[in-house]
Amino acid sequence: MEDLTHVTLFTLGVALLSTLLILPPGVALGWLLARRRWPGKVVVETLVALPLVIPPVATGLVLLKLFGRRGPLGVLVQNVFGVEIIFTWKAVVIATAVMSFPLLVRSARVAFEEVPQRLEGVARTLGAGPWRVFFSISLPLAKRGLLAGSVLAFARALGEFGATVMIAGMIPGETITLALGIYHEVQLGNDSAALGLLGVSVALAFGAVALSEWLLRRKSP
Amino acid sequence: MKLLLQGVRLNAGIFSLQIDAELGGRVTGLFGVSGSGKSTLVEIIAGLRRPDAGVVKLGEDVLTDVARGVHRPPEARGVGFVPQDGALFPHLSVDGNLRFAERRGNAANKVFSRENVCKLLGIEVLLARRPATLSGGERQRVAIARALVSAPKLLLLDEPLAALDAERKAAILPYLQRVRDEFGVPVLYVSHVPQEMLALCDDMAVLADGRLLHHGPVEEVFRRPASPAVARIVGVETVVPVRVLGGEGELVAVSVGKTRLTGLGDQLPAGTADVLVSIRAEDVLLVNPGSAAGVSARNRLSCTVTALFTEGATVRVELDCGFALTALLTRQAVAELQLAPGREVMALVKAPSVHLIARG
Amino acid sequence: MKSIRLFLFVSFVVFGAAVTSAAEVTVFAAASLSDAFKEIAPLYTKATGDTLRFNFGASGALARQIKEGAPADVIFSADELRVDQLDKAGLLLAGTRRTLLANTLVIVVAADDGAPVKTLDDLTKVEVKRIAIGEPATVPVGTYTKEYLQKTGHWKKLIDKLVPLDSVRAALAAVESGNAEVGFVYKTDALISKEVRIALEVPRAEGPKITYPVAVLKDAKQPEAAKALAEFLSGPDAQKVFAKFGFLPPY
Repeated sequence: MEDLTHVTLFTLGVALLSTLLILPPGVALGWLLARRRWPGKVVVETLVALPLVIPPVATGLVLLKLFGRRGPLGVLVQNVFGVEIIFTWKAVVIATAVMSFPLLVRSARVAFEEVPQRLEGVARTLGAGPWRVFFSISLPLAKRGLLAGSVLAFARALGEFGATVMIAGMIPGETITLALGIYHEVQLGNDSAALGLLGVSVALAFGAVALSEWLLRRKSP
Repeated sequence: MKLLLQGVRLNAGIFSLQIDAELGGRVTGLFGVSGSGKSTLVEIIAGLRRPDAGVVKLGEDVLTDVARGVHRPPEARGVGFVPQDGALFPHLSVDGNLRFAERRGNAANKVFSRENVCKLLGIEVLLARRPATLSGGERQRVAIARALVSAPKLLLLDEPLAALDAERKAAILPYLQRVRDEFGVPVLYVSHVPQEMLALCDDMAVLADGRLLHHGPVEEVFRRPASPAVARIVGVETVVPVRVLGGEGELVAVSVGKTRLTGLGDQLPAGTADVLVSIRAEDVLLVNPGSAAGVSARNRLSCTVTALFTEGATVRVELDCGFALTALLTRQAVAELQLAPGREVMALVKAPSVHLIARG
Repeated sequence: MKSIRLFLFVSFVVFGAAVTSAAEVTVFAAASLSDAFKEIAPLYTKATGDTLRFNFGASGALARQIKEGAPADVIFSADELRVDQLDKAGLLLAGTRRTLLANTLVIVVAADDGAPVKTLDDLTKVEVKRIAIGEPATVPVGTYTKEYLQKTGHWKKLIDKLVPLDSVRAALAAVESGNAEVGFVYKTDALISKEVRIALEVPRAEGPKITYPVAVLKDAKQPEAAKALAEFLSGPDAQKVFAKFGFLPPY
């Protein structure tokens, strides 16, 4: 059975990497959805919400078709970076990133919507351009909500299974996360090993959600 | 510096704005009740809202020209904007808020330096504090200071005293007067309180339902509203400059030419310059001469009727009491007293109705 | 009047009972048998009037489901091991077990410009990045693959390239989609896919003994019909179909 420490560290590492990857686009998209209107905005909102709503394995299937050796993105990545995605740890990162992206965007949007637009307007009249207003006013004032959203996305990444098993498979030592490990051990009939992994998963999830709640409830600066 | 608003139009649902005006002077008042379009106009001038049509020009700078596709972004307009609640940045200290507004080119002009602005607005002691810990009046002063630090070419104050009680309003007024006198920045002052207009503004524009109804020197607008509509909005007032004679207990005595008036207000030392008195037309009672003994009103003035203007159910009676006084009476009363130009009457005005306004 | 109604009612019941004497047999069968059964099922219904209801899957998963009480009449597994487990657990109907088919292990590559593999050693080449196999612990084809690679001394050399998957069809799909260059599947699976070709066939004498046993379960709801099915499957009509799909007769 997979070394418990190794699997835990791998899961944490992958979740952390995927969260860091989705932060810039997630925050940017959250801000755009909060502040701007454009034709076709609802299409973007729907696309972003899809991974939350359709079964994770369905998302996994879409990713498999996209990133497979013959898929459009798979070919692109192969030609530009010389790298393969399916059945590697990179697939785990992509699957968790895609599945936790909607949570981050949602939280970011709410966080920015709570920043009074009046403050941003006044900042502009004081001579600050749009970028300066974003970094000096909007971002600091939305910080708590953004942080809570990141932790939530991280927690989701920790527990991701359906999409991951589709594009990364369960390759011991390479793509086995805590969630995949539980499934794997159950298939093999190793209940005690599965329960060990379960315990660690629950503990990590507890910690992440508790942290997210605490961040949201702290008094504002 | 002149602010030109030409053909500015904005249709926003049930509200539409249409303005053609040229505003100048040191402090121009923008008078109107809520919903009249004041805040929208101010936002358009600041560049936070785009009108559907029109031109906004500040001096020689074209800030907005919809037809030519010109819209200077707010940060490049040089228009300082102080909204009603101050809008201080809660995550920065007072000092942080001021530094945010500082521009690199400011070093040349000492007037707008942080030190100078802080001194003139009396906020040096507040620098380390967070906005949430400030009182309403302090917040307003910091907000105004912050706008000044950005060295604006025009200062927009949107109802700065609205959220304050009378005592605090009176406390801030001197600071606003200081801003007017010491910074040389033209100010557009938005409010719906006549006393504030009289205390601070040189000229004022009256806004109602998104339209500009009257624009002129402040005393003119109150004394002789251009139309019944304007009169309904600003109220008819008699406004005269007076000379302060001195205090009498809780009362203050002033004179206009040979006529003496007693009013209620802050104690002003004799000889104070630049003081106005305003009397609402509804507060003036008229009686036949000789019937005025034994009444409570401190002011009993001998007048001659100069003109009568009927407006619906009321009549505006213009009188000469040594100064121009306006009274508002019902038609029935006018008929009963047989008022006509040339008639002699006594005007009775209670001391509390004689409002003293120090412009200094 | 009343007696006529009673007569009609009784005759309907008796007639209805006679008509519904056709049984529905529930068959838990290995995934690699699904294509062959598509042809066999209508043949069987025509011959006996009974209908077949299928649950196809990896033999390990099927065995586990039966152990947990799933309602199967017949188990048709891709290896003896699972049926041994069920026998030890006392879940089989005595005397109904027999071996029906055999299969061979093959190595497949993509049909068009697949990896250049002619021998087992070619698998260590750098062009072969990933090898799709069944999960050795739970999927029979995986168990056979591991057995064979260990016997030939290649297991340790290739272990880093192995991608264990849930079923033989998953391994086939991985090679079809190009996500794995090489896959270990049954010959019968290789033959039904146009997108792969057989690069190497493990000779029957050298390779693992891949046999497909069938057995009726003790708790079967249709034991008679189930026994009849087992008979039919070893008969000439069924065996012809199996042969068409590449299955071999038992050793």
